[in-house]
Amino acid sequence: MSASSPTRWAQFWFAPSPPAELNSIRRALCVVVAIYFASALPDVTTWLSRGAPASSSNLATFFRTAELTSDARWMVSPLFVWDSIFGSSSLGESATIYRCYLLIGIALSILVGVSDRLLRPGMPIWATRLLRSGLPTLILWVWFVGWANRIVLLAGIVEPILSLSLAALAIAPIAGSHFGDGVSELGQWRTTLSRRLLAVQATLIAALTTATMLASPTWWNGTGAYAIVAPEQDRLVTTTDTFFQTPLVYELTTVLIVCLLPIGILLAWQGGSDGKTRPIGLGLVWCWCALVGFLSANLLYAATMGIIAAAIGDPEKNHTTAGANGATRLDGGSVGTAT
Amino acid sequence: MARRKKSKPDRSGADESPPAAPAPPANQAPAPPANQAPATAANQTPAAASLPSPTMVTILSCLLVVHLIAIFVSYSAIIEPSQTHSQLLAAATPYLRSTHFSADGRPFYLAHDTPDEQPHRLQYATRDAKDGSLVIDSQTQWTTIEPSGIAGLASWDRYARWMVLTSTLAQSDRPSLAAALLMPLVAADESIDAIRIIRLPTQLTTSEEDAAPPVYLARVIRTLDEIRLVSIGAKRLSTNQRQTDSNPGSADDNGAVDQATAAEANEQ
Repeated sequence: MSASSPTRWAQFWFAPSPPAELNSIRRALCVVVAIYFASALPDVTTWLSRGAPASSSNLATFFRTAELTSDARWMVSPLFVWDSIFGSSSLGESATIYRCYLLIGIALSILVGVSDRLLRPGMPIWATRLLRSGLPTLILWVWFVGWANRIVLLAGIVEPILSLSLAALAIAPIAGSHFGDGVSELGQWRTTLSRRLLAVQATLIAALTTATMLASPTWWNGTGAYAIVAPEQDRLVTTTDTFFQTPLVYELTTVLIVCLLPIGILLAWQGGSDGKTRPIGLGLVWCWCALVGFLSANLLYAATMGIIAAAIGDPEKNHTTAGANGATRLDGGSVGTAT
Repeated sequence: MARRKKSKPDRSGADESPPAAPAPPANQAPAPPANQAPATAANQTPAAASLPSPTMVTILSCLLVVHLIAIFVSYSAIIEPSQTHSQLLAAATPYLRSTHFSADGRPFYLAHDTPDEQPHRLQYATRDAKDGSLVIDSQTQWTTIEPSGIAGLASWDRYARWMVLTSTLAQSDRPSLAAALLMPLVAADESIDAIRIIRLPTQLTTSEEDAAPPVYLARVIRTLDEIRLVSIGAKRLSTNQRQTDSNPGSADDNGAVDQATAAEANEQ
């Protein structure tokens, strides 16, 4: 058992898989990121430009007053650098610059999202190599982190998850949808690593979400779902004088929100002997995402969770899992010694 | 299972390369170990060519473990980290902050039915147009600055986060930090003479909570060269004698607070 453990670990993380496997997840995540960037466009002037509450100079004053400069130094962003270089000139803390940053972010998201479709015969070699390398995804992640760190005090729960997801996605190469390019035998283990990292991160976040939810009595006394929609001035829906106020309805909804996510994740990992458990598990996770997104108005967060959950398990049993599936297949093959 | 017996061409990889090139080897018949395979690239199986070297596997595995531990430490610290947990979090901060992986205490738990989940609104008051005075009491007319956009979506969220952060700082006895966050909004409109942040009642709040004083209340002091926000602290329940309330040393920001505190006493 001890001898086979490293092999299972290596199989789980590095067994090769088709690079195109991540195309759907990449496209969906890029749509979310593009919407995220676009959603920040309208109120750049309100929050970030010169004289606004979250302008670089005001944040610097705030961090100095709060004696948080040592923490703030890790919030790296090209926009902070830009503002410090151009300081009081018209280019510093300029709404136009911020909007350009967001527009470039949207363009990058679109580029990465359609990159698998852009790979066609006849493309210049440098462009093909660039796209296949996954470098555009890496640039998109860096660009996103730059923005998220810049708006740090305005950031919510979607930014960390998007950052984690883009970082994991950046590991994988990009494969063309239109022609088989053999991407890269060298790249195939990176696809698995990327997908596994997405899946494990999704699992970790889901587990800790459930655990931290249960730290409050509101999720034990049946009012958890009610607590989500209670601040109705800040929600998409108003539940006052609706059927939702029936105890059976909101208590059942509370139970669903608590149970759907962990059970769904568990079933998605299990896969089952016939592979039917995974779709059921993913279906439960997506129900959770739809429910939470609708009730809490955290649409981008819910969408991101739903997308990265799709990386859990083995869609077509292309490679082994670390659990029972892997154990049945690993009859002597050692990834660790293959070079 | 039957599917796997055929070497089904891969969607992405159906290509110029040999038919078996993109086929994942892990659950196919075991690939020959690398040390038995011919050394030439032409004869090397795609499986072997696709795998990282053992050294690379070791390095990547270590990085993965460190990364996942850091994420776990960050996301599990949302509620109330222990001392050791906090130290671990502090050690991981450079990595987590610079990559924006950090959970940073954000409410991933969705809801805990705490006061900071109530809707927060910024309100301002202006001087009386006739006599130019402003008395802060129950008769004061407050104007609410509503968030923009669609409820619950991005612009709305940013407003909510800013006000919640300001309220949290104000309630943590750090009114100067709350003032630093609100100052640009005050400076942008010269007609603002007092501001406050209130929590709107929800269906889960009690009447006592609904009657609570504003989370943050401050007068705006404008001079020729500067603008100051002088916070008016809510009276705390105390077993001390009442005369201690009038101690000037208890003022939040400066001497002007005494006058404001008196105004607040009228309000109550």
